[in-house]
Amino acid sequence: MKITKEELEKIKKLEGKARGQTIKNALQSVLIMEKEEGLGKLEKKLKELGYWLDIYKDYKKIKTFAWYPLWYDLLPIIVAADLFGWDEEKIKQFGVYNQKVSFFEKILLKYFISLRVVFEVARDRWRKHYSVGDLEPIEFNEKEKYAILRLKNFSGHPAFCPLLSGYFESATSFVTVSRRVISEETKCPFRGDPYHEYLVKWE
Amino acid sequence: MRKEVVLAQENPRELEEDLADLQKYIEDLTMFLPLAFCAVNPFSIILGVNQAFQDLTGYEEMEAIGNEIDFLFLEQEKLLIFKKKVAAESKRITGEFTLLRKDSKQIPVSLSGLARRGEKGEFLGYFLIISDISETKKFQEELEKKVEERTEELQEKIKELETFNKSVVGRELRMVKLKERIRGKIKRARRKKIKEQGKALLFYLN
Repeated sequence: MKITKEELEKIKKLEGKARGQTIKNALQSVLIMEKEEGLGKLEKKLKELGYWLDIYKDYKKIKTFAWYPLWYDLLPIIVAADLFGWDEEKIKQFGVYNQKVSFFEKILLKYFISLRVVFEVARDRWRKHYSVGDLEPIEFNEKEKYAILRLKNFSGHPAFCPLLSGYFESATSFVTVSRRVISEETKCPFRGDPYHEYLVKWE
Repeated sequence: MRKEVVLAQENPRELEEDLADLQKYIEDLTMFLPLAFCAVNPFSIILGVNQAFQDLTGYEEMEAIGNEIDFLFLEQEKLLIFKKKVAAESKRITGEFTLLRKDSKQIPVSLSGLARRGEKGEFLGYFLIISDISETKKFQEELEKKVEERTEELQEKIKELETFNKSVVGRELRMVKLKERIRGKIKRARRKKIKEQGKALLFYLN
């Protein structure tokens, strides 16, 4: 997944906003996976590319509930995936950490009372993080143990797809005693589909 | 009140700042707390922990979050009852457990759980505080040991006293008996003497 200047410019032009929380989550997850040294490397790389933002330096001071341009959030994720050579599994793990460190997820306990609730409020939860994109709960089958979520009107970047997959996997594992939760992207605009679609299965 | 709420909604920037302040307050407070603290959902899965939790258990934040609290404690059946109680009650529930640290050490701890409920009273999870009571336990055990030792000492002293008492009382009893015998002998000797003196007097008179 080699990132090009054109791609970065495309990301910069994406419409929409992201909560400060999402940027914090991303940088904190980089810290967990690549330690302080990794954050330093990411800073260097972003500076080289000319996309460094001062808010990344002291990311803990980013305003959790404030809205920032969407690319503020996507950029460090995409550049980190490229810089550290993360494969799909690694980016998925990055998504898991993003969910685990999220302050929203800690305080919004009412969304974690059952699998069905987690599924049904997916739209609301998405909107708390991003001003663009519509996350729709399509199917929830408790008997067969799977759920389908659809993300419309949000392209982002191919690196963001496995991240979301990991995020959904982690969010699901919080409301099931099952130790085995698997999420996969079954449809993707980067593969010619009209939207992203995720199948989440648990045992 | 209604007017104030509407005003706050009309000024989202102000609301965002207030929320950010609130978040900072919560994070600062939980991180400052010297007690190990964690937030748990209705499935007993850990959502968040503070620094004291990481110090006490030896598990880092990312290792703990997403796991059921069960892996932290030795007494599984007792824990199940504790969890049910926390979910059912509105007051704080406490209990003593053995914490299984990451380095395999076992520490006696006191668990306090308080349920979190939604507006309609639905159970949303709970807060858990883990306090290390190993020092208190150690002190209690030492105290119990001391009491036991003192009790043993006292029992020995009582035995000694009883033996002493028995020997003293036995001697006294023997002395009493001896005195009685002496008294009897004196009486008999006196009676004999009186008899003899009577006989002598009769003889003299005759």
